[in-house]
Amino acid sequence: MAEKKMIIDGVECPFTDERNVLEVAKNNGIDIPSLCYCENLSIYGGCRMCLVENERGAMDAACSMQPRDGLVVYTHSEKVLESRRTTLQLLMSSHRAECLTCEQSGKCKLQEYAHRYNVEETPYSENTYSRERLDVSSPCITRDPSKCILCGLCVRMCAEVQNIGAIDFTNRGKRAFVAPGFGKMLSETHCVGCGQCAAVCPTGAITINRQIPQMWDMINDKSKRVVVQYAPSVRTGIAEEFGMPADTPVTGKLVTALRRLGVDVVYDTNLSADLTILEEATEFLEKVKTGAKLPMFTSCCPGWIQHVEHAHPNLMPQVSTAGSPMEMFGAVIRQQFKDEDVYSVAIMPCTAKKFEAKRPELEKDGKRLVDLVLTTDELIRMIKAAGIDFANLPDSEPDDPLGDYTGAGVIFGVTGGVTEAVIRYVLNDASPNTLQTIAECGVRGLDGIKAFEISAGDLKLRIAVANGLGNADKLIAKVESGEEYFDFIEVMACPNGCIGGGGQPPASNARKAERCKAIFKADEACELKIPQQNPAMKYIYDELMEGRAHELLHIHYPLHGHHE
Amino acid sequence: MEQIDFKVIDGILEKYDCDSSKIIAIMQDVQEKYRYLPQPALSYIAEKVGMSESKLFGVATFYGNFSLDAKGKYVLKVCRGTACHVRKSGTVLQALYEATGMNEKQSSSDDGLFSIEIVSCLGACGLSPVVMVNDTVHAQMTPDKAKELIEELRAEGA
Repeated sequence: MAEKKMIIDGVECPFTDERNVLEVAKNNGIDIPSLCYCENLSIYGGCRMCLVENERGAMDAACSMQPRDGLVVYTHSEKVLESRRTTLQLLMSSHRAECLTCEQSGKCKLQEYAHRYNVEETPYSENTYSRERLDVSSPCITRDPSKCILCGLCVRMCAEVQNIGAIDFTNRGKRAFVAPGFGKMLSETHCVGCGQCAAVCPTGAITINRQIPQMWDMINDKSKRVVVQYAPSVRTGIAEEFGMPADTPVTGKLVTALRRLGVDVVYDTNLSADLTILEEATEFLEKVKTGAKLPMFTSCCPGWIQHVEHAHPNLMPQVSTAGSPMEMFGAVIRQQFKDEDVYSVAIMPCTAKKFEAKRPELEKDGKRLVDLVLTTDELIRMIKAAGIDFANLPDSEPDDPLGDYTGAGVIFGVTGGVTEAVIRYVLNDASPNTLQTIAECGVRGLDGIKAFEISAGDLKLRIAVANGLGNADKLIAKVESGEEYFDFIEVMACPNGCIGGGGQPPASNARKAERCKAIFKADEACELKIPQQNPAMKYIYDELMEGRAHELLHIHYPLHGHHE
Repeated sequence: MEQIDFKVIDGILEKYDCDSSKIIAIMQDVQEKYRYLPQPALSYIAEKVGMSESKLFGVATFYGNFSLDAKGKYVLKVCRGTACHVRKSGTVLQALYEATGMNEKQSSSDDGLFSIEIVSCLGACGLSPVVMVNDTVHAQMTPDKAKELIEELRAEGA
């Protein structure tokens, strides 16, 4: 079959199965502006920024236009540019622009387009932005309707990808705004705080709850010992923000940067990811042996935990009680520094971790296990604020004696990683052949749902991996109807797992694929591959846990039911 | 707040096969029953048809025909379309407010008998000015006729 081509701005642009003209243009190096389109969501066609002109002078939205062989469009004709300016002026006439102090400044698409298309002022005297109140009820994200341009990306993300629908359009016409129903605040809905709405928001209408000032206060308080742990996927979201390719290994630079910010002790959450595997895999094998109800679900993702509590309370007893890596390192840090005045900080790719850290269950011996959660995004801002030339930093290592980790911990950062680490632990064989077999068993890749089978001795295990809560719900429906059986199910709330977390710099699918590569590069760089090999494990269990490993490393949420 | 009989809601849901694509018809039936959309009923329906509460709230606030506030036993729709306006429907509206002791901010009168709604056109311009009481049309209204109407309804409704 002959190659299909359309003509964009007089240039022949080949295409195959792109879903719209916007994507064809993008793949051919032409950036058509849009505020309401996202490659992973349904097409809305509401913002009118992507209008293009055809041969007859008619205008249509490129996001809603099917590519056709021989189709001719113009993306920067006089008419198109004029229309873009008018659209921007109309949007700006109902947007509270406070760009100097806005959280989103510099990342705001409306701001970027206003500059790009030379919109100097709006001809409308009165700004009709929404006067609905600011929603600061969630510990994870803040909702500011006065900056909303009604693109609906957050609404579609929450409903289509996460299957939650915490927010939707309310009212109509100029009184329309996006909010939870019945005048509720986010904390009164089934919002899990995943932050995916903030990741797609083109303006500052939904932003991460940033806590950078608290961090500076603690760093500058010399009476506090600031101990920081950083999660596996954090190392994948930073390089791109400092002009390096997304798959550049920057773990060493990250450690150096944290020390230069003034942090006293730096640890890699990979260590406690190893710990999570030991606890979780042991629990799993025990469940298999005793004939407990399966599948067992993973427990590291706080968005997923909240989703179970809201939508599948009956499944909670099947969710592992192993604490998340963040929780476990929190407990280890408290044991390591016993009576010292330690301020425990976790750098996470995740907005929901801010909620997890505040849960009553994450307090042991009268102390919070984690005092503060900062997202990757917040760390990047701090590095920039400190004027650190990140790209040219030398490498350094996390502190001893808790600085060791294995490749099994690193891969937690991507969907399927926890499962792969569990399989490595269960097979207990670090030979390249076995590792290769595991890598090719179906556990890797960024698909929303993966299902496969592995053999461990005489055990045959059916395993599934889901990312995105909508995918998790689909999987659960199949399990509950009896259509499918699984022994083990991993769920990460965010699409593609933590590399695409709501606390990471927002990224396209292509960018996330690069981050996935970065994770496996980091795994390859690790000499040790399976958690059993981590020399720090012995130290933790023998010296730090004082026989309280189960008590300190497991979290029993209320719906887990009774426990010993 | 009014007690919701969820059996009634179940009956309505059954009539429409609990189908989310028939949500507007479901909501219309609920509104017919209660004269407004009580929040507990909407939350219940959301769960049954598998839609989010925020989506249902969005639908309910999008259409002017749906009301989330409790309405009176008699819903008075006062036409303020062009023809009715020219024939002084404004004075009729004013008379209705006075006779019911209401103002434009209230969704129903204190005794729970009346709600007054302003509508753009009832499509009966030849009968202007027009007031509808639930499903009954009252033609060629005047302030005096409006006051009489309220007295009659009050006697009937008490």
